[in-house]
Amino acid sequence: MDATADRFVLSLPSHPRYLCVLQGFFGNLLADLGFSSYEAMQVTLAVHEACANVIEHSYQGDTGQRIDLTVLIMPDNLAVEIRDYGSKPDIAAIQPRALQDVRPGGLGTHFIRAIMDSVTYDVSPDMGTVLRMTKRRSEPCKLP
Amino acid sequence: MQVAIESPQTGITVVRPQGTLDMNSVPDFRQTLAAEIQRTGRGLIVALSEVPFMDSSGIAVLIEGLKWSRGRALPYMLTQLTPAVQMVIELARLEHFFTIAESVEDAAAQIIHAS
Repeated sequence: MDATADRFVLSLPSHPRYLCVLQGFFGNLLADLGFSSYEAMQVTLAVHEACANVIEHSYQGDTGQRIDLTVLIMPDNLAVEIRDYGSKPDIAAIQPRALQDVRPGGLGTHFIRAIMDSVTYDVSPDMGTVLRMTKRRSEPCKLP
Repeated sequence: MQVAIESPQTGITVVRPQGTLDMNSVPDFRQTLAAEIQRTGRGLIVALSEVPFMDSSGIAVLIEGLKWSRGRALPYMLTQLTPAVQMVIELARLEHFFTIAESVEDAAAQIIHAS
């Protein structure tokens, strides 16, 4: 990670009721840094979907676990790391489904890949997974 | 989650979720939507003006609602999309899958015209 970036750390219980925290956190932070409201909505959705996937798949609905987020703000780039301590995904199986197959479910991964510029899964930790995502800004960020 | 139920015309039901439509709130909303689709006589309108955020669970339940309505051969319309809801529908490329009306009144008129 870039040591010169502004860094935020947020730890969430793995309960769906707390995902609403992300709307306030990313909405306010990105608006204050000059991201467009559309970019802020997009990034909030991508992070929300990633955390929802952690709850559903890595923790299999166990609401007593933890999700650690690290956010790095750089002038032309936003990076988000989402760390869980649950079961590791089968990376090859994480594929967005074909959109012409209209049915409920399976859209979260599509949203993440459609919104973010890079998405990588790191399963090297002894426990859990680190999902790293970046999003380039359309306009340079007004860092303090 | 709070869900307001309105009836602008006899046999037409407006379901209005109030709040975030995500994996936390969708189970409750899903029950309400399913019950209202069973109950309504001429058609169902989902008014989304009070949904500030929606995730893939939200779009999934809207797809389910359309399929349940088709099962009863009832018109099913979305209206009053917020920017966040519009964004999710566009990301899923479902703009042409749903029938989207400008307003509740417009949706109700389309339902009456179709019946």
